[in-house]
Amino acid sequence: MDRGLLPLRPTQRRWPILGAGPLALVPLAIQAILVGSVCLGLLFLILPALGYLPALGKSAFDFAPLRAALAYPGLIAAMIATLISGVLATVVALLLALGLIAVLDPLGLGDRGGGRWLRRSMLALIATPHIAIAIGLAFLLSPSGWLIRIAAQFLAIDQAPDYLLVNDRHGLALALALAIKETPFILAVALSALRRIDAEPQLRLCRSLGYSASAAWPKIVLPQLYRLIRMPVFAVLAYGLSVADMAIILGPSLPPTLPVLILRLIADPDLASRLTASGAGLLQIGLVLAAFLLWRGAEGLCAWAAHRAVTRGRRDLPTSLRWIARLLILAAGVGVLVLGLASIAGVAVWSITEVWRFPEALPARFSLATWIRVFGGLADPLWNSLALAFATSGIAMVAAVACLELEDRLGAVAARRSQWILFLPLFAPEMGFLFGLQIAASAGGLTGTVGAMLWFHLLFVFPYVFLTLSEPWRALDGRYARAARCLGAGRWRVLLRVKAPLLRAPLALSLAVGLTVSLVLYLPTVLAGAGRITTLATETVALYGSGDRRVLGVYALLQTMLAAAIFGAAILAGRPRLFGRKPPAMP
Amino acid sequence: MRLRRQFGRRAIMRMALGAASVAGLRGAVPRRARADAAPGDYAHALEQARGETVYFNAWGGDQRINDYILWAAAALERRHGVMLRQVKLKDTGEAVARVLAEKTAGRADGGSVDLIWINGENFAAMKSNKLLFGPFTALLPNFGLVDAERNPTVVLDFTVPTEGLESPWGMAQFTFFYDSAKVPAPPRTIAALLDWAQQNPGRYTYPAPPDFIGVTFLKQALHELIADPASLQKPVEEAQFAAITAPLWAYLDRLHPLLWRQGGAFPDSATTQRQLLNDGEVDLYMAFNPADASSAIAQQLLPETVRGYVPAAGSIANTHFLAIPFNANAKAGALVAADFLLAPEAQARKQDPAIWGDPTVLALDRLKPEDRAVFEKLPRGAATPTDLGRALPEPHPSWVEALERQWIVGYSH
Repeated sequence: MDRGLLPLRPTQRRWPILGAGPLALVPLAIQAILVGSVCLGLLFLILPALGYLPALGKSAFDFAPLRAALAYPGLIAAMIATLISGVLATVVALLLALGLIAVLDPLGLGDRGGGRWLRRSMLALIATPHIAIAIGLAFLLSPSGWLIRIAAQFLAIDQAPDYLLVNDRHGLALALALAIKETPFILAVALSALRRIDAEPQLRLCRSLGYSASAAWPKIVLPQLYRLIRMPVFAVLAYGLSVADMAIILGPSLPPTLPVLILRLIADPDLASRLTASGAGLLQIGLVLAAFLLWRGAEGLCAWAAHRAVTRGRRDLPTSLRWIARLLILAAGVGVLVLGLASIAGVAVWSITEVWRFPEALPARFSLATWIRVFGGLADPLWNSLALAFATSGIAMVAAVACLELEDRLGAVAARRSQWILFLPLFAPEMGFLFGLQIAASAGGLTGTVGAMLWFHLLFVFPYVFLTLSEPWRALDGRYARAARCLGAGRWRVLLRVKAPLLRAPLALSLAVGLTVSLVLYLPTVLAGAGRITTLATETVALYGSGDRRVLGVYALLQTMLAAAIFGAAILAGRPRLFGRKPPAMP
Repeated sequence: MRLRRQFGRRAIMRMALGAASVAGLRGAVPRRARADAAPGDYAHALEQARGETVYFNAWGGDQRINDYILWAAAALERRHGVMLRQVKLKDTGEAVARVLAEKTAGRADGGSVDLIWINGENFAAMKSNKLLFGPFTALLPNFGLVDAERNPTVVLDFTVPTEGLESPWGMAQFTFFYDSAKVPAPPRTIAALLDWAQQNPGRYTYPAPPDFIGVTFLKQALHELIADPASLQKPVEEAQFAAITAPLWAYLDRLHPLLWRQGGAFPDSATTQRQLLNDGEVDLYMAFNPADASSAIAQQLLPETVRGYVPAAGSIANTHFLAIPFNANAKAGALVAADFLLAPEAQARKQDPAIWGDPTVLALDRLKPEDRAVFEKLPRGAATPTDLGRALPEPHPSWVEALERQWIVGYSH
């Protein structure tokens, strides 16, 4: 386009957002909440970590808490285990997700058999709560677990072997569980990003230059795709380094991972431990930053290697290598799917078990007694979980729609400039800044209130809702809205009568994502609820030590069923209404 | 319950629309916390308690106990109009830390903890930081049924005098359990345990400190291994700690390679270890409740062949209590709840192995004959040891912290 025409663009004001009227308040408010919370949390973490906590009579800055944290027994080992499990899980999930796309659905069309299979099976996994996967996997893999019990039917095993897989020192079991959970997430994000890359003509061009399809995809599509999914990948990395509930169940115990160690220090009745905890929280932030730098370095290295590979201009990969890679990727994909589904199956079977002893492959007696027994204590956490989930994701969705609508009205550039802010809570080291935020909230007497719960949940629900909604929203053909405007419809009318119905499926899906994210939040709930407001997620972790897998099974399965029902409803609600004819196709 | 019936589906709809007006979260701190004037006598407390919600902070890692608390909550609501809600803790220290944080933040009333299940170092920490309401036990009618003369641990918590700041709830004695179908002769001393572990490597473990059963195992071992156990009754002196505990660490250094997972991982609680026994991964587990296995068998959580025993030298015994924080929001309700949980009816139900099996703190000779008859009719449970042997006193609470710390230093790597 000729640059001389540009002055006609509407976004010429210095502060275009000021011209957007009251709608602009919503994104401003949500950005203020997100940034404010993270900053407040970090501030209230850093001050005590530097020895400043007037409530304890400490007002001189020093490095004592940091030193105390560093001197805490096992801290270095805890940091190493955290780093290994978090980074390993992210690497595996990313490679596997991209590999599966390359093999099964390189164009992101989702219409071929492989692509459809990929979407369906991974959607099933994306909906299952972390905690259910963790509990199920712990049972599956432990030396007296389901796999060994099944093997015992064929081999002569009468005593559980003594090996250490679950709770292993380096956090490999934790990494596996995280990878099972994160692969479908990255996959979903990548598939939706793939739609923004018009891959087919590019690949066709490559083919015409003599590249085989399997050689062209990594050279042409992959770099574009990775650039689009970088942010979610960093979020996955940050999550893996901050996760607490899964680490309690599957992570090492001597010492535990850093986030679990911090939780333990917070619970110590000796208040001086809180200073140590803040010091450890600071280290947690450092750890996440270090991992980010490490990742950035690896990105550079990969880019350099990829550049060399591209310029070398090889038209095809050796056939044997291609097949081995394909086989490996498919096997790993099937493995992840099977482990994930088997974990849920294990949880489901336990919930209706009466007696199931090693080495029987299935329970000796089934019974619904646990469901009936647990039911009495279920009312409060269930109600709290649902009320919170609906309230926060409702707010988050309205806010996300407001942000995106504003983006449409202002022109994408101005609004997108500050977009990274919306994802800030996903990158910020969860354990670190939430702990600081809890100190701040409790100083204001807010912990244990509904407001604090909504606030803490919104920090995590909003980014996911926005992430789910923004991609399809921006992909919506702008000509629909323009046509409606030409016919005299106002902006609000266009939003409600044109965009909303066209975006019904993504809207329903983003609400579902918001609901399920809120349902499974553990750390924010524990810290904001002061233990008084319990949800299914916190109850499940509290019951983990009960040594009664039947009860755990009920709680975990209930969460899984809720998530499945939510996604099922979203898919149903998102189906286009066809009044006897197809929607008009745009040329 | 009432809330849901009142609003039902419409409330959900409203929330779905993003209404921020959810005041309906169960357990939320009321916006304007009504400060409870401390009631002067029990009749006054009963009156004041009606309609109050008591947040009972209690370790939530055992569904049987949670079920028992649900029963008590229903009875309390029916009889006294007091709503008892359990806040399930992973570690009692969480609640102590919360009250302490509230005090440092200057929250002198409307606190988030009303009643707390506590003993030992947590009680000592709360007492020394002046975090407790009371003395209140003299207000409770049922406290008269407790005999502190013959049962000194009901007023002496880990050697620390309770001074009426906590009301006894149950008795505990450290007990070992084994599967008699697999282990013909379980080791009855700490020294024999090492020999047994040498013959059966990988079949024993203990919960990782700071879990209280794990720490109690250390205390039990210390008690049996050192020449002068009386020194444990005094507060730890740093200068002597290393010398006194040296035999313990020498013992553990030899024991750990023989443990489950070669000592590379430990179960996080006694209930997890009980599950390991049920799974056939280990052959022994320990609990503070002598009826733990009987009750677990009744719940089908253990094979019927499991039996219990107390070490030959006797074992650590203590009492667990209920206390009310200084800034509790519902003090009257907490008093009524504490008294109800001490009543013969509640105590008898608690002692029933089919329910929980936790031994009573009441002196049976002080009960009315019909109440006594209820206790005497309770089944003992096949797995409960018939002879509990000598009750060893708990060491001073300062030992808990010192042992925990040294254990973590020595074995976290």
